[in-house]
Amino acid sequence: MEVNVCVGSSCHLKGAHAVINKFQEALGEEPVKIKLGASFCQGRCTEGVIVAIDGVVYERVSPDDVPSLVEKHRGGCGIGD
Amino acid sequence: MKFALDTGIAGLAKKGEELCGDVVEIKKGQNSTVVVLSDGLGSGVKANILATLTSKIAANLLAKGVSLPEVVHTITETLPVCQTRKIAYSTFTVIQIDEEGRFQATQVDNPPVLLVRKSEIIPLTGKVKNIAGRNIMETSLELSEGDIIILVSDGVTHAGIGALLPLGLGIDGLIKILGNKINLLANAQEIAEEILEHCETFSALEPGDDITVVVLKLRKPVRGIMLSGPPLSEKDDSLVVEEFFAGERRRVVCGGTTANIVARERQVNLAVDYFYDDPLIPPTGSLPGVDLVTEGIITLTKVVELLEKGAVHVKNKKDGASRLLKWLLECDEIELMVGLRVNPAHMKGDLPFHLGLRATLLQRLAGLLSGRGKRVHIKWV
Repeated sequence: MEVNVCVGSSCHLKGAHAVINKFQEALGEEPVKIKLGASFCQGRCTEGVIVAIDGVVYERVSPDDVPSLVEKHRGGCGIGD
Repeated sequence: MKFALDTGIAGLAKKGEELCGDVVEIKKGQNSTVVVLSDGLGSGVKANILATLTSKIAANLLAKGVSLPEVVHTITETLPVCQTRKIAYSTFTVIQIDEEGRFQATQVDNPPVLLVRKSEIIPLTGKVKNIAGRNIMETSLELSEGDIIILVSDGVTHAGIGALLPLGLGIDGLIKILGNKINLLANAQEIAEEILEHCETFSALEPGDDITVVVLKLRKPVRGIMLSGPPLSEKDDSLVVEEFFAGERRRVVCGGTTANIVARERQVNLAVDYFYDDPLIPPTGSLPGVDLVTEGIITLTKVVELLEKGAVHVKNKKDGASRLLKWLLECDEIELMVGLRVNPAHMKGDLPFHLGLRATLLQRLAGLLSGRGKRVHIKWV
């Protein structure tokens, strides 16, 4: 599973750090390999925090959304595959 | 700017004293740097006050454009002479170095200023004048790249008295150490600290007088360019990126969208770190041929805040703002290439920062950096 979190100005202010932390926690627990990465502005600032998982873009992601997102993409069954 | 000045200061108070009676004042002006080393009579608080007075008056008058002889005249005329000892309250050395390498020194009762040129170490001599009853030596010369100027208080030349060297190190001893023991290729601060360590050793770690060393090294100015913000017209992206990479200079990109543009135009990969060293400052990235890539507005705001606070401690910090500030402070000449295009995604509504902030912020940054003796040029693109 490839996760990419936007850390551009706007997503940063909207809590990218907390979202990354939550993914990092998940890294430890998951049997599935998560490759965590970051990117700068993806041009959708008003919809932040922007997270792309296996090519699927999610908007307004909060730390609470992380477990269900990981669940959804577990086993590489994401739509982007 | 032909030359920049690498400065190093090291000092130690006499054993048992909290305050050093030697005071160094460095003032960087637009085109020249003034350095004053003053040694107040005695030691401790009294000496510190006298030396502070001398160095502050000298540096401030020189910064206001008063000529060096006039400044010396003012100080020697106005500073009092000790009633019991019948000698002046402070000794001092004032030097002025401009960007073309023109050097002027005025020495009043301090140990001679040393010039290190290639492998030669020369005590500077010059015309001796009598102003207000004091012998004042004036020297002027042209410096070239790599030259080192060393100013010391008499704590250095007297180092060892009462301990390992009965007559003290003396200026000849100092020259010998400089020739044999000290790595003169090191930076100014390292050289100053090394000289101090030798003096400490000769004094058996109990200095009998305040010890101060100032080292100034002439080097080629370090040039840097920062690109922050996308160009106003998208058509200019490739031109701006091309200009950013032109010439021999250090480079930073400050802004996520800007970094994306650079990566696209250069057809290289932009790697962004997700590791937060400080949760308040967005992570950094890297681009081939660029020293550092940071986020824009938040990082810049923090850099301006740090500079406004005055004292800067960024040596061991890893967050984007500290690293950007360190990069800026290492440069002597900085071009700020500021893009004026507004991120369309920022236009859409409820974002918590103001548009147009970048321009104001970078103007403030330019002002603060100029105040630290940097030559800053803003180019709006």
